[in-house]
Amino acid sequence: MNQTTTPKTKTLGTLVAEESLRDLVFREEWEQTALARLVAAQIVGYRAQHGLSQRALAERLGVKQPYVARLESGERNPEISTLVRISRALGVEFLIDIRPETKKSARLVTRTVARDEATHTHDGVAVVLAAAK
Amino acid sequence: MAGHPYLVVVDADAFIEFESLRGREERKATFNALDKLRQLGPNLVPPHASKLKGEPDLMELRPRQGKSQVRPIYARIADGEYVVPAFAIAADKADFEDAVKNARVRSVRYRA
Repeated sequence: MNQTTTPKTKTLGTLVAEESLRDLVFREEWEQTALARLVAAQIVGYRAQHGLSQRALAERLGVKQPYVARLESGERNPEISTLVRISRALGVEFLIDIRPETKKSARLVTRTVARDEATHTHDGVAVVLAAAK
Repeated sequence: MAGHPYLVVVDADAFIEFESLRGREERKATFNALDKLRQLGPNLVPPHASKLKGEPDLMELRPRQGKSQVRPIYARIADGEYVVPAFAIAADKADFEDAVKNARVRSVRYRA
């Protein structure tokens, strides 16, 4: 970035935080679909890494292309059975840790170092979502 | 797979354009697309992103896999860092062309 005239910017995190403050419905929906976004990124990333179209990935998963498109939308949380299917077919590992906000989970933190992770709190409960290959 | 998260920043002028976007669903879909860029960086592939013809340094995000009318234009500015210098908000060609033109001009600000 230009050192002499650094342009004004906002990070995505700041924008989401501002949106969450002024629209509580957005905040609730955004937090509730954290798992959907994490899984979507895993699926898109897998396709990119293996040079697959949505249709080709659907064949690997034994589903139709629109099913993959839905997963990649990141708008709806997948069922546990869907995560099992993805894990089995693609060798992806998902870790979901739900616990009181005050308690730490050293095991999960240790296991997810340098992996994808999404964390949010909901009514005093911490939800940590992680995925790894 | 999705690697470590990338840094995604939005240019102040682009943010003003984004603020003209009304409707929670469209805004949420746009944030979702930006978050995909944050999670995936260069591994974000079609139909979620695509190259812009004649613009080697710019790409477009395609919220809701292209079903949204919104097109955030983005550029890689450093290793692991992306900027969104402009948004096309309206579903018409002129607005999109203006956004690409704005993105081209504004992205110069971020060149090292």
